Amino acid sequence: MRYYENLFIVNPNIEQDRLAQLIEAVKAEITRLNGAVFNLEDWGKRRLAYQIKKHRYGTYILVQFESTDAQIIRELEAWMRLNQSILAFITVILEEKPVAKPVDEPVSATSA
Amino acid sequence: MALLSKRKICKFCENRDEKIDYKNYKTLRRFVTEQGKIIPSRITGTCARHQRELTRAIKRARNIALLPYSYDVIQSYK
Repeated sequence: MRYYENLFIVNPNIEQDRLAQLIEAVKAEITRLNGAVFNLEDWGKRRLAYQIKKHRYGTYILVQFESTDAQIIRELEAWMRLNQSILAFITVILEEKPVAKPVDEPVSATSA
Repeated sequence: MALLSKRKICKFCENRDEKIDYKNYKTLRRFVTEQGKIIPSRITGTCARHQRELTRAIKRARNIALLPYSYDVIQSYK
C-alpha cells in the first residue's frame, strides 16, 4: 500500500459549481482506479509564480489518497492531462500515512 | 549576527519539527535568491542531507508554480 498526494491547479475562471463538479470527478476517478481518498483540500485562488497557459492565477486543489496499484498514477495523470480545466498537476509519493488533518495544512491553507 | 557567528548551524537539524515540504513555499523562499536560484548550502549553512531535501522540494515547488523558475528583477522595474 502506498500513499500519494496530487496537487493540481484549476483554471480560475470556471464557476463555483463547475469547480465542485470537477473535484467530484477527480474523486470519482481515483475511486474508479481503486484508490481511496483521504483528504481533499481547496487552497483557493492563488497567484502563480509564472504564467501557465496564459493564466496568472489558479485554484490549487490538494488530494491525498492511497492505492495498492502504482498504475493509478499513470492513469490519473493521463486523465488529468485530458481535462481542459486542469492547468497543471504534480503527484508525489508520501513517506508516511497522511493524518486526517495534515500538520502542514494551516501553513499552506490559511495564507492566501 | 550571522556574519559574526563562526559556525552556521543547519536550520533543519536545529529544529526537527520543521519538515521540508514543497507545499510550504514560504519556508523554501528563504533558500532561493531574489532571482529564484537555489542558495548554496555553504552560504545558508544547511547540512548536506537537508540541502538535498531542500533542492528537491524547491524543484517540486517550481514545477507547480509555487516558486518561480527564474525571476527577472530588472524586467520587473520597467
